[in-house]
Amino acid sequence: MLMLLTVSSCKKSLQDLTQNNNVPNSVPASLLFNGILNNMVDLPDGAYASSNQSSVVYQNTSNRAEIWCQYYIYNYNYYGNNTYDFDSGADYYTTIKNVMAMEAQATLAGSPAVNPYSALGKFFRAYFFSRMSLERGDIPMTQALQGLNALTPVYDSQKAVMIQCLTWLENANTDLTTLIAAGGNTLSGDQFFNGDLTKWQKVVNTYKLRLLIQLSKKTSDADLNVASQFNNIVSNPAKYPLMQSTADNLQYVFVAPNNFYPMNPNNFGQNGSRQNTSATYVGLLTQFQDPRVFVTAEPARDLVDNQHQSPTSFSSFVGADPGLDLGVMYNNAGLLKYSFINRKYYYSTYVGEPSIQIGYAELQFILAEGINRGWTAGDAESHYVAGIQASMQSYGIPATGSFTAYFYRPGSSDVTNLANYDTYPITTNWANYYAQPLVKYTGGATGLTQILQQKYLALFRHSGLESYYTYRRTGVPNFTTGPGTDNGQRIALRFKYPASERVANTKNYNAALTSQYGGNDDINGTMWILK
Amino acid sequence: MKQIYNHLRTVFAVLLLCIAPVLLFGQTKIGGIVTDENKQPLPGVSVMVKGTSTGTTTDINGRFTLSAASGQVLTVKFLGYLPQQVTVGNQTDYSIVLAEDTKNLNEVVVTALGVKKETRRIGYATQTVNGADLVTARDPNPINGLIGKVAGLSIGATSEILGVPNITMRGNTVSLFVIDGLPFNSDTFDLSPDDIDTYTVLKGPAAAALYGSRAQYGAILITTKKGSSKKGITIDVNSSTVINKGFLAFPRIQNSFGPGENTFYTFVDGKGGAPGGVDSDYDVWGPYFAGQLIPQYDSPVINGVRQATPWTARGANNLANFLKTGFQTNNNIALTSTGENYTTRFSVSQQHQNSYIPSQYLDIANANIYASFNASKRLKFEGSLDFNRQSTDDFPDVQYGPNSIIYNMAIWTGADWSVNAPDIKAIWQPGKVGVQSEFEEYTRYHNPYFLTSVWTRGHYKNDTYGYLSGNFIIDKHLNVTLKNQIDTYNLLRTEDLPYSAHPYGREGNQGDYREDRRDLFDNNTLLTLNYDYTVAKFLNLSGLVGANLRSFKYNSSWVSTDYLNVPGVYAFSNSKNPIEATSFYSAERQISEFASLDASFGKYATLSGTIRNERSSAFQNVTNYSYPSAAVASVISDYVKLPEFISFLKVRASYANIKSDETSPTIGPAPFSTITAFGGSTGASLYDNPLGYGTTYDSPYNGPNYALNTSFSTAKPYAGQTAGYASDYLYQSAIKTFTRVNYEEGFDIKFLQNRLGLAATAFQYIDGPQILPNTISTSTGYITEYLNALKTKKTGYEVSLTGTPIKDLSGFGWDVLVNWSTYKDVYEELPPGQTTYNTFFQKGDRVDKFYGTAFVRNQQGQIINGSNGEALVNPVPQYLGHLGADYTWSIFNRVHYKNLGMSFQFDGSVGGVTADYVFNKTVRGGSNALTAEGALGAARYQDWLNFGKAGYAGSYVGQGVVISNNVAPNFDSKTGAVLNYSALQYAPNTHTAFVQEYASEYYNVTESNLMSKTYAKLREVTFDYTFPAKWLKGTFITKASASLYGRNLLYFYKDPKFKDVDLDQYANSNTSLTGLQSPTVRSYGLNIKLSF
Repeated sequence: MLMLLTVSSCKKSLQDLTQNNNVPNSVPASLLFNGILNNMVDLPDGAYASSNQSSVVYQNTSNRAEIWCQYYIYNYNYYGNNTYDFDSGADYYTTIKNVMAMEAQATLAGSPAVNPYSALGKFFRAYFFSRMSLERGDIPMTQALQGLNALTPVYDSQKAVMIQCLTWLENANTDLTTLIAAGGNTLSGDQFFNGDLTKWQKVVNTYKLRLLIQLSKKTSDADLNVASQFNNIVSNPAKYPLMQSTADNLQYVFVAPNNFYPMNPNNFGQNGSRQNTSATYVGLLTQFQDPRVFVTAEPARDLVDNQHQSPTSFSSFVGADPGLDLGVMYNNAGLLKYSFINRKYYYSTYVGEPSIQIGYAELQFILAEGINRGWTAGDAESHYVAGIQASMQSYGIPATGSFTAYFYRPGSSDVTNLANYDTYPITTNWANYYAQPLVKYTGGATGLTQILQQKYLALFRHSGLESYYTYRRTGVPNFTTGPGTDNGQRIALRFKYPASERVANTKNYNAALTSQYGGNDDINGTMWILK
Repeated sequence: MKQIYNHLRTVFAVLLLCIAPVLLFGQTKIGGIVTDENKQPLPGVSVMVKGTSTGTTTDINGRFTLSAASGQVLTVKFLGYLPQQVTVGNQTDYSIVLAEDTKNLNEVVVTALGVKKETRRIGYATQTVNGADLVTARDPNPINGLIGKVAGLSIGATSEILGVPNITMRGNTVSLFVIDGLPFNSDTFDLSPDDIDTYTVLKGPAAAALYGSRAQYGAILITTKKGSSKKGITIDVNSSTVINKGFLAFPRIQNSFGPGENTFYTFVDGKGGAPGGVDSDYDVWGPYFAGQLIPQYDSPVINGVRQATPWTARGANNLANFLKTGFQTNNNIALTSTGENYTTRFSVSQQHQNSYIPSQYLDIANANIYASFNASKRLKFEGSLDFNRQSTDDFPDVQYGPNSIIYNMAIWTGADWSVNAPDIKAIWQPGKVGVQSEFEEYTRYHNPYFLTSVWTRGHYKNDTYGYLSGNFIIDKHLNVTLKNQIDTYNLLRTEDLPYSAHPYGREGNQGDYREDRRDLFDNNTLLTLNYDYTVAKFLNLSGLVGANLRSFKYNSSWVSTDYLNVPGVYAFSNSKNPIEATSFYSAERQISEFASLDASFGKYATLSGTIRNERSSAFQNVTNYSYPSAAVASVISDYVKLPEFISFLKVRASYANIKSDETSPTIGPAPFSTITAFGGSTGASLYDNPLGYGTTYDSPYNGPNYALNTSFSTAKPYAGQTAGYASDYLYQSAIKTFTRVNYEEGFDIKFLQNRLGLAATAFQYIDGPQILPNTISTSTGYITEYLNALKTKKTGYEVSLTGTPIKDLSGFGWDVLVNWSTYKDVYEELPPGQTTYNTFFQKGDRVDKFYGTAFVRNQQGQIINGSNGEALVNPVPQYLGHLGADYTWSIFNRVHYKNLGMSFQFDGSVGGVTADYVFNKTVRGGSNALTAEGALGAARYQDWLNFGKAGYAGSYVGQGVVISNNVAPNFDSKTGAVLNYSALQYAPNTHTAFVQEYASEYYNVTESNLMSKTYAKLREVTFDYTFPAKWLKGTFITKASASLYGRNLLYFYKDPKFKDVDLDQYANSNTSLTGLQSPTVRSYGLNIKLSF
């Protein structure tokens, strides 16, 4: 009788029972590839698609790329602030480990040594290592990613990292050329280009130019050979295909119901008034009498409703100084003294605009900058113009013609309802716009500043920290500081190393700090590429 | 596996053979029962026929039978009791009452596997509490009654319905409950207090070593009532009625300023977004209540224009007005029937609890059956079955967020709306019933009636546990027991999320329905052989050998709609987008063998040892491990002549070395979840919350956690496509089980004929090498390495003082129990190669050091402000104190005069700090009374008066200095030390700031929310009266008593600022941040006990 109660199944051995059957023991390369793609993106409003394998994190306040680029800034301290109190930056090592797993799974599945996953694996390595180095300086690379075999990897110099990343990009291009020529090669799990390797090849080379331009202070370094590498790519379009139009953009397209644009009707009530535009961004637009301001921003209602300025007057668009004390800024914002982000363009739908990671417009400014700097021959102005026009087109602004500006009517109660917007026809005339002295390309140092200013405007809400990096190496556009930016009125120059380095890789971490930053993990320290 | 079965079969066969009737011969068969003075049966009592070798010992019910002739004398002996002699007469049934030998004080306690031992022979610390003591002044949760009753045992009671208390022993969460000898997966609500005879707390691992790994943090042994020793039928009735009224800890709210931002508010549609509207997701930093005209949520709309209406504090005390008097009833009827060969007990209990939060309630029903019968003199069968049902359609979720009434009523909305207004009470907007709720805001906050009566959560849990056992007495030295126990629950939790509810992650306002289902089946088959040999006069050997087979299975699923098509239809078929679901399955088997030996050397000492071997599937690979324990006890007063005033002195010491596999005591709703649609957590954890809001319910589990199994994982980060990820974990090769070594030393001393007793224990634990998920350099490609590393050492002391200042002064008596305990835990050995652990900790540091954000100060200690007059915050967290208490204490007093008794208990905790979350949120949000008082309040009023005036930049001037020479402070990245103090010059701060900005920044720094954890409570006061037997004479009632009691009566805390949180819940945890809690209430109850 007692025995009958013993219902324990003895079918499985004890060893069988140790297994966790709730999770997979392997997944194909295509799934790993999709995971990596989602890890690589930087989305507006500090959103990640997937910051790590375990979560989709939105509104992570530790990622304030857009704030640090002084585009669309916080006015409400409860939700965030504009301080340059950098902590550790993005950590992509686990993602690079996934890249390695992807390559291994592709090989296991019978792919040859050179296959689409391995070719893009080289690109991903370059992409992730270079991004981490741009944030911090020296980083572990050659001894990294060996798991138990090297638990305390030494740091490679930033220079070595950059050289290696450029080599990976070179090899990725070579492999892709081979694979494309052979034909029949494709990728699964590609949410960006649906497996089109030719588009990926353009991304690889465009990214290589971005990386080279970020080394603009290191042109004298013979090992890097920045200028000649740049020239080599630009002058060999057959070997190094580059993006030809915005259709080649590497961009994240938002989709309902799973992947909403970070600003959407659902969170308008919470967020709609907690950020306002920055003077750094809106100031440039109004200075240039730039029609983009009517698409990306709205006039300051105080100026329109109380001071009776025209809603389409550039003087009605005012951004806040990022250095301002938040209490003062929040009061001013409440009194409607600032321009807010355009509600129609950014808040009225769930999909907003695609978030460009590496884009055609940026490429044009990179080419213009390279030519301006004398790294390669060409017409800087035509690239400059192409960059501006690509940006304007992305907002639906015709070169010459008219479009409608939508400004949310005060006191309205539904951001999705177009009837709640006042509409204004805006006429544009490219010739007039471009004829402005501030806009018309002049070449030389001024021309460089113009290129960088227009690049800054084109990257509004796009490409993560790119505009911060441009500022960091060029000082363009002028970033402002004050109590609101904290850090002793300085724009921080780098991110800290992850806290785990301090505890688990102490010796190498300390050595890296000593050789670079006087022994202190100092966000105001100057890394090698900026010297 | 097979082996064990063969073993069991053999033993079973032997048992069956032995059932054959045992022939009796000779004289007359007589029988009887031996009890103590409290009529409790005494098992194991020796009954000998004087002058012969005939004799026996009493069984578990205190019964004996033997043959003796009339005129012979029975000698009845039991350690700790005065021997008695009974002359055999004509009757065949004898009732023998043994009186306690107060000189040779002796208690019998239940120890591991239900073995009863005399305390004098025990070498480790235990404390026993009578179940009856906890039902007279009962708490809705039976375990909460143990607060303050046991030194070293700490119970963090929560004020929530279904809130499981955090039970810790010496700082570790106790996860092992044992009922009648076998482990039980308890959520503490599934125990029926009326069926519990005693609670015995085994404090250290030595005491519990026979239970193996689950006992590493001690155990609570529960012995259920087994029926009465009195022959015939007894009916016991116990009934309690309790009301909950009056708050101990309550948010401190201001009613001077309403909601809004920067002293401004106007209602547009309650959906916000439009700057200048400030009508949603707002703070309580709005306009002063001066009766001025402002458009509000209920202002009339005339010709499409919302009219302005007077701005008044019409909702002052909304929270208090919303809460009502709570009510609770408990009823139990127990029926016992005892005959010659059997005892049965049937018990039915019912508990109904109406929360002081409207609409919310809990029902618990419990049925318990116990039966035993003696098939023969040597063979006894026992069985017990318990069924427990917890059920509610509506219980609260207090987790910070739009789901919480505290969030909605105390933190984020102001006094501009009234909880008594008919439109609020109506819940729905006219004509939009079921679709759109009525409130003054529609983005983040909720109407409290909507929250508590429409947005509902259901909890339905059935627990069934029971056992069958057979005990066979082989001879007077040996008996064998085979016991088979099952313990199973099934749980259903539901959530009906109505249209227009918008918790975090579900801002679409289109409702949801969710189910969380869990099934657990746990089976133990236990075989023990007990032995007891007196080898020589001075040496007695007793103990047991045994084996246990545990089989465990667990299944769960979590399923949710992704918005609803039709409002109010809570069914999966009504899901708008595809259903989101996850499931989990686990199984475990454990085969254990164990043995114990107690060697008593006459009156000098008892040496005890246990060993347990375990073979478990809950590890990376099948793992074998064993743990020994040893203890020694010596009653010095037995063999050394001590001064007269010392009546008893015992010393004891013990050692245990416990190992453990990779199991988890509890489990959450969606282990290894990959659901990302709701903004919740995913990944390799048993505790994932698929939702972005709310508390998850952790139910008892004690199964594998699979932490040591590497695997890939998947998620759907984009457009429903599956993405894969490789593991982020590394494993040291040949990883071993966790080790805990425990040493314990103590003494028990009694003075003045046991009028005063003191039990003191010192203990040391060395935890480790642990199975440590150690943070490694991410540049390895991995985040965590599991390895055997890290040792911590815990040392502590417990003192328990019992006294009887007045024993019997013409009917008056007074008893006192004082418990005191302390411990601290330090890092003894860091992982190899590391000089720091967890960023800041070094070898020798307390593990509960608390690092948090702190202000930057100059060398004189003044706060340094930035150029806007607001305090600078150090970029590196600073040491703010330790989280654990210095010590905890309790004093229990009982005075009685004849039939009238009164008892009361104070208890509390001293030392330690934590951060007050309610304070933090209410100050930052502007609702805390502090923001409307003193300098802050005055400046806040100025901010309102001067709103919108050009050039006005606030009135509040923060304390401290500013840097006057425009030099930026530089900080050491490791310590946060200011590196360039000498370059900084200071001037007094004169910058004005807006109060909202200043308070929100200043009180976001941990340092300004830091609260002491020193507090005390008047836990309970009870008046009881036992009706004199003579009054009951002639009625069918044999016993009657009544008690009137109050629980949770007074809360003593020094700083009124932080009296918004009742520390009970956090006293025993190292939490660095308190949570939201429902206000804690006083309880007043009446209890009646009757026996027939």
